[in-house]
Amino acid sequence: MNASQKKNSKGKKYGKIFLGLFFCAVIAAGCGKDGTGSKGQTGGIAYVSETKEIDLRNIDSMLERDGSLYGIRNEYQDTTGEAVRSLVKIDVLTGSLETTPLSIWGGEESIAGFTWNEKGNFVFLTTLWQEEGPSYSLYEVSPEGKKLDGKALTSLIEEDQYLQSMTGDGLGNYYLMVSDQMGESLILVMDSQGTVQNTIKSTSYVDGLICGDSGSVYASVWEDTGLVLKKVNVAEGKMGEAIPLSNISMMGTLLTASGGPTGVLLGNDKGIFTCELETGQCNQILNWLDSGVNAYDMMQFGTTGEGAYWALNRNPDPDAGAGGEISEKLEFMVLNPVAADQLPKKEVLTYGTAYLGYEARAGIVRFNKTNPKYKIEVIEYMEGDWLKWEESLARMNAELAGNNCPDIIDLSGGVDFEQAVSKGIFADLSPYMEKSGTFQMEDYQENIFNIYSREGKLYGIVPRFVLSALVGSAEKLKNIERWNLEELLAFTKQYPDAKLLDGVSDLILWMLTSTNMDKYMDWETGKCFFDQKDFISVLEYANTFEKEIDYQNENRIGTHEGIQSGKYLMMNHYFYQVRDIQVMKGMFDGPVKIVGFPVDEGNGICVSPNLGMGMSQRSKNKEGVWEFMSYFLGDEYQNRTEGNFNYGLPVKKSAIDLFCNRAMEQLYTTDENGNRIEQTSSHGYDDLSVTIRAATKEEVDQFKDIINRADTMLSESTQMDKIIKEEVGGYFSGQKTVEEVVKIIQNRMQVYMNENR
Amino acid sequence: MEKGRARLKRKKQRFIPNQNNRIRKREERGRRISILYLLPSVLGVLLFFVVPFLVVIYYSMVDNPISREFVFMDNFRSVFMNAAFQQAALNTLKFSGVAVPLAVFLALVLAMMLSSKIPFRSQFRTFFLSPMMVPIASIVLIWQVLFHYNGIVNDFLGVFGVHKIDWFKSEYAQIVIVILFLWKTLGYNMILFMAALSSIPQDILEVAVLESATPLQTFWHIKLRYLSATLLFVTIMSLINSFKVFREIFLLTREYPYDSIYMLQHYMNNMFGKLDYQKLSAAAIIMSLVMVALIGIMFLTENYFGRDVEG
Repeated sequence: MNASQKKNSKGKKYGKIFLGLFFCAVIAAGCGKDGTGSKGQTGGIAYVSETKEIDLRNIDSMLERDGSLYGIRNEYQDTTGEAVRSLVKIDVLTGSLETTPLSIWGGEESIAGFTWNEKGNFVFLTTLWQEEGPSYSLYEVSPEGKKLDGKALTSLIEEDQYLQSMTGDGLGNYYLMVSDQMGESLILVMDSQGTVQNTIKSTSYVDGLICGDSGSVYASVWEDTGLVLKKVNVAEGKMGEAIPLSNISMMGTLLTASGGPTGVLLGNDKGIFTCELETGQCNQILNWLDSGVNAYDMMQFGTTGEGAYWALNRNPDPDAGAGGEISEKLEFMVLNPVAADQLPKKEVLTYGTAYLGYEARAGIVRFNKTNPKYKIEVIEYMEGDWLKWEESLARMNAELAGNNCPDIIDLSGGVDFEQAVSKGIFADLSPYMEKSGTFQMEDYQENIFNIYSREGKLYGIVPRFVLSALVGSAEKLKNIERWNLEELLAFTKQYPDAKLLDGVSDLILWMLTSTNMDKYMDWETGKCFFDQKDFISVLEYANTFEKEIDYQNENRIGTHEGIQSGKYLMMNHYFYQVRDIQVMKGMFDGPVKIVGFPVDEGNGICVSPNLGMGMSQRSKNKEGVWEFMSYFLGDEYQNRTEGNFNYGLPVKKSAIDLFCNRAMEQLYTTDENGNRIEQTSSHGYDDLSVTIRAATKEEVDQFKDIINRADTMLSESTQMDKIIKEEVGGYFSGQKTVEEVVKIIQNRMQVYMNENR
Repeated sequence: MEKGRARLKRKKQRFIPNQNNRIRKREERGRRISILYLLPSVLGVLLFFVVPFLVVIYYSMVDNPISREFVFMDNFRSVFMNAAFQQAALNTLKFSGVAVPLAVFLALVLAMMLSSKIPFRSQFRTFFLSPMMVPIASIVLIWQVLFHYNGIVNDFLGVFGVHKIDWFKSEYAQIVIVILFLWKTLGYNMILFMAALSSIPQDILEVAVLESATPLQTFWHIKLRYLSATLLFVTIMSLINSFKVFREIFLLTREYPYDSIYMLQHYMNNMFGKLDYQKLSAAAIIMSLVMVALIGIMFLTENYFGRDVEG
């Protein structure tokens, strides 16, 4: 080999090495980052929350002014039976609280909004509901709580309109938001003298008003494309061009505050954002979850003026009574900035969800605060708005099978469980349960676990769930414990003048077929039977129901009235708590029987997870994942009964017992004469009002019975349901015959079956 | 003199190796520069074509993207045996077998017509080209307005007492899609043929006329020979476009259409939706192999028929 050949050979060698390295780099890049790996802290600022113990009972909304928060407290006096109102001032930095009595209005006059004017006085917008309609007033009140001026506004508002809220620009102008029944909005702009300067109409619903610096005001308006900003041009009496907001989720309520680098801050349940009002460009500056805040129901926030933020958040009251009654507690917190690299380094676990619900959010906040080794970061696929639900689900499902699969997968919505199991996405949780020693399967509702098990492997846990079943009068259903489709149809034939339940054709068809698809699709032989008599008779039966509900029709018979008059035989009900049995008894005016949806095997009582999760087979921190998951199976979580956001049934037997025992507990209160009386609450449905009392043993037994019989996963809308729904429209609208429709369904379903065998 | 020659010879002898070196160096430099210029393209091709294709091959031979167990040809076997895949392949073959020859033949006829001196030539040309300017969404909308169950075609047929036909959900579905495909493709193909027709040397055609050749003979023995390269290109483009007709079908009838218009890309798209990347990859490889084979056959045919055409 001569020198030149050697050189060539060397060149080729280097070329090969380069190509090899290039391929490795490309493949590594193409595979993407492994979502299960650790993530270091990024540089910059993090915020740590500090909750201040302040008495915030009975305060609805607050107003920020000169570093202090002002709120109105409405307290109901047991002795006089009247509401007493006071102005509450909170020092944001110290958390100290001052109260000034407000005795300007009577208890029946409610406050729709308040702001302050250029003189430093408060301006209140009030509503008084009377028989002839609401009357509105505007009051100027000194910081000491004295009324300075009052104006009636009722003449400005038309009959079909209602005054929604008020915002001030701090320069003496007030913006009153008025809506009508058609969803159109109106902004009345008034000067400090109460003279209307202009009226601005909007054909879209105005969600709120945002005051920018220099007195400019923007309206957040719901358009077909989502929420947009529009500048309120008072001089011309019209709204400006739509400015779409970017980098901010439009899923929940949009909160606003002044401050930050652009003068305006926007907030939602994800965090706080600075926003350029001219362009709609938003940038997140604080993440609630990273700061240890469960912001599921964040009410207000603002800046303290020293680089920190304050927030007013609503959470379920842990001291609330039994039986899942609704009770909330306001908490006030300050979020102080710290250097991100000063925070303890933790390994990151990812939690993938379509939309983060209250339960998971609370668990993540608790885990991040208490676990020394792991930290959970949330990947929320539903980032935009509900209009993009399908796109978000497609992205989530694609990532589950890819390299970016989160460590923990939320099962409470959007994940096709069967498909994910068949692709090997979930890890078997049984060995972790066995290894833990603290979680014995017999302590839990095994029937619920079985729904999420395949071939003896547990692929998901459902710590909180609700049940869905059919309810009817015990007398009519006395011989029925469960049924299949034929038996259900035979039952309805006994009552030719009655319908199965109050629902539209589409819903009835879905109810009758979604748990019975195997009847029409033989996966063994690969044949479909949608063009046979069985399916045709179901279609014909569904066709006898209303096609859509006419809510404008005042003569339409409601569910309760229909059941009482014998028009409806049953009702589909979701069971969250024992009191649902009492509601159903009220609905049917006597004992009830609860049966599942028609199925060939099993009971057909459906389970829908309020909180459910699976572990990714690819997770590199399975122990950490199990640490997180196991909290939800433990007593601390399972025994929680406080109401509001976390409704749903626990999966541990002892927790169900506790849940039921609390429902049976009779609570007492005192009346205005000081006598001890039974505490009751009421539940309304249509024209029905049911008095809820302590549950009886029979009611608890019936409730436990349906929990024990639950054995079916409540199916989300599947491709098969979609195909049927698309085609039956022609039949239900009378354009096509049933034979024409079933021929097309048979054809399309056969394609679906062939593809999936 | 002799001395001078000898000095020049010595000088030349010294100069030649130096000159060779310089040429070699220049060549080397040129090669390096050309590699530098080619590098972005090579990287692009590797990154966006070669590597993804290798990843597809990899996915087609594992059991699933999570456990990644090597299963060799199992996915191909499973795809081949799948009734839906067989139907999709048959439908695609049927569609391409009918639509592509029609698209080529009708475009050629139109091009011949519009190349001759007929009235409103320019208007006709615009008319046939207009579908190229219409976006897919609008095409779908137009077809829905026409062929929906409550569409214009059914309304028109109703005047003559014809019972309504569900065009997209009946045996007629593929015919409707063929019409859509032709409507969309003819203009483009026609323009290509017109350009090719205009480039045929006039002197040869004139000689043929002088030699008393009939128009059919002229077309068969001269024009078709000169059109062979364009014919191949138009056929390949039409074939590729016939596979792309999935877009329109999907927008008209979503994931699971009537069985006669369930195409190969439906199968692949649905596999993607179900995260079945291994079957999707296997089907994609099968389809690409078939395409390569078909295009190869076309090249051979073109080579055979166009071998004696100059240029």
